[in-house]
Amino acid sequence: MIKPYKRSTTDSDKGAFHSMAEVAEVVQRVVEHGESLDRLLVQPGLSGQRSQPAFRETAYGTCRHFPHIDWHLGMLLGRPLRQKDRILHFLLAVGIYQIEHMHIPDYAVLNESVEATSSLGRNWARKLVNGVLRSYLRDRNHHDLSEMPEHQAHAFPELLFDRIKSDWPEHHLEIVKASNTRPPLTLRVNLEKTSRNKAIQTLRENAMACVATRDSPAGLTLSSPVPVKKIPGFSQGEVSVQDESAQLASLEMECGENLNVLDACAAPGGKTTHLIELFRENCTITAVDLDSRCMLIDQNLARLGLQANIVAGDLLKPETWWDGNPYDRILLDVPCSGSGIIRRHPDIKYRRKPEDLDKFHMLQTSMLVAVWELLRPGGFVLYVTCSIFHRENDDVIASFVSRGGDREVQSISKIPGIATRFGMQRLPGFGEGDGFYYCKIRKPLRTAGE
Amino acid sequence: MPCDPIIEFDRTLQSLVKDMADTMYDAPGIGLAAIQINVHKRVIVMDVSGSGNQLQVFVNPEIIDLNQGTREVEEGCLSVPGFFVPVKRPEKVLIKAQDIQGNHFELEADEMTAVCIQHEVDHLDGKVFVDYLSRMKRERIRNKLIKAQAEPVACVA
Repeated sequence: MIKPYKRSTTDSDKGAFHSMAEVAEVVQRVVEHGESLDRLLVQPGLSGQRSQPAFRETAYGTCRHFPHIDWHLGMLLGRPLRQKDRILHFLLAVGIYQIEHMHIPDYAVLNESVEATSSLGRNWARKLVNGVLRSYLRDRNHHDLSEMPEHQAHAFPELLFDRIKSDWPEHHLEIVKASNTRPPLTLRVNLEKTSRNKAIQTLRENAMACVATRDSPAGLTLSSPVPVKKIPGFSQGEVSVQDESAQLASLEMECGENLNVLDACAAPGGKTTHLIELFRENCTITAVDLDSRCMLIDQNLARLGLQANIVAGDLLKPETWWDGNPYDRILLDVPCSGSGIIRRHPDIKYRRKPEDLDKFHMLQTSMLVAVWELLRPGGFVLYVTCSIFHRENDDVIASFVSRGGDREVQSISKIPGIATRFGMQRLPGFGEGDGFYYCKIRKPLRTAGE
Repeated sequence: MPCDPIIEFDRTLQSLVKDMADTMYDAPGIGLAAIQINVHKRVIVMDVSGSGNQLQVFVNPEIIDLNQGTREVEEGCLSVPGFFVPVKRPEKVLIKAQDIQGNHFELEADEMTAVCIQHEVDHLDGKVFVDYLSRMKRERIRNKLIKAQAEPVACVA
C-alpha cells in the first residue's frame, strides 16, 4: 500500500474531483468565521483531498473572488437561503468560481455541484442548485454590472476596500487588482553558491521557465508554480523561496565589518538565511523568535546547511534572553495585518477586523521600543511590515520618533518604491513583489540630553 | 489465486521478508504483500511510520473486526500506480499473526496500521482495493492504466 494523501502529480484527473462539498465547507469557515485557509488545508488528520492542487486552487480562488461571486448569487437567489442552509450558498459560489476561472466544462461543474448536495445532507436542494447554476450560465452576461457596489466589483469586503481607498486614494485600484491575482513563485538565488544566470539556465534545462526579478539582484520568478521539492538546487540550498520585496529587506542592512546583527521576529527564517548568505563572513548573526516558531528557522537553516545563533525568546522581554551585547543592526520584521500579501493569503480579506489595526499598531510600537534598548549608538533598526496601511507603517514610526530625541529616520537607499513621510512603501505587484514597508531609524553616536 | 500459509519458518522465509522490505522501502510504500512480488505465501511487511525503521512482519495474518465503526481513507496501491480512491473499512481490528520465528502474537490496530493491514490481507485473498469500486469506475481505472502503459503488476486477479 502507498502512503495516502500523496497524490501522484501526473494524475491531475480533473474529472475525478469529488470534493465540492468539502471546498464549500472550507470557504464558509474562512468567509464567515475568519478562519485561516492555510490551517484548514494543512491540518493533519484531514482527508487527503485537501492537499490536492485542484482542491487548493478552488478553495483559494473562491475565497479570492467571493465578494464578487456573492453579488451575482444575490441577483440569482431572489431571497437569501436560511442561515442553517448557508452552506449551499458557498457550494454555489464554488460552482461559479469553477465555471469562471477553471478549465472545467460547465456540465461537469453543474453535475458535481448537484451531487455535492447529498454529501451535505441536503438532497432536497438538487433542483435549487441545478436551477441557480443554470440561470447563472444563462444570465451572467445580462446582469447589470453598473449596479454592483465598487467593493464587490473588486472582490473586497466593504470596510477593507474603504480603508485601502482612504490610505491610498491614488493607488487603491492598482492595489486591489494586484491583490486578486495569483501570486508568483519567486526564488532567491544563493549568490554564495551560484550565480543568478546559472540558476536560470539550470531551471530552463529542467523545462521550468523563469525570469529575473527587476529589483532584487538575487531573485527570479517562475512562470508557472511547481512544488518546491522539484526545483533543482532547492534541497541543496542553492535557491530558497522568498518574495522579491522580502529579499530587498536584507539588502538594505548594509552590514560592514565585524557587526553584531539581530534578526528579530525571525521565523520562518527567510531573511535570517539571506542575512547569513550576505554577511556571515564579517558579522555575527543572531535570530530571535518565540520558542514555538524557532523550529521553522532550524529547518530552514538545516536545508541550507547554515548556522546561526537561534534564540527562543519574547522580544518584548529582552531580559529573558539577551546576552547584554548591543547590536549594530536590527532587522525588525514585525507581525502585521498582512494587507500587502492578500494575493498570497486571500483569507486575510475576511480575517481582519477594523480594530485589529489598532492592536497591531500597539504591538508594533512596543516592539520597536523594546529593540531600541538593544541597539548600539551609531547603529540602526530596519523596521519592516508586509502591510500597506499607514496605521502600521508611518504612524508607528511617527509615534516612536515623537517619544525621544535620539531617533533619526534615515532614507531607504536600495529599495525602489513609493517614498512615504518616513519610509519606503512597495505596493503589491510592484516588480514581482508583495506589498512591503521599510523604515530605517538610526541611533546617533552621542545621544542628546544625556 | 489464494496464497498458502507459511509452515516452515526458515532461511527462505527470512530472505523473502528481506526482499519484500527492500521492495517496499524502494517503492516507496508503507505495506507490501508477498504476492505483489509474485510469491504466493501469506506474508506481509509494513512500515506505516514513514521513518523507514519500524518494520513490522506479519506471517499467516488473520483479521478480526472489533466492530467500532468504519472509516474511509483514500488508499493507493503499488500495484495500481497513480490512483487513490476512498475505501471504507472497519476502523479498529484485531490482528492475529506469527512473527518471523513463528511465535504467535496479537495486535489491536487502528489508524493507518488498521487500514494498511486490511489492504494487505486483501491482497493475500486475491483482492485489490479497486475491487471496492463500482464496475464502471474500475473499468475506467483499468483503461487508464492500459493507456498509460503501466499494466498492473503481479497481483491483479
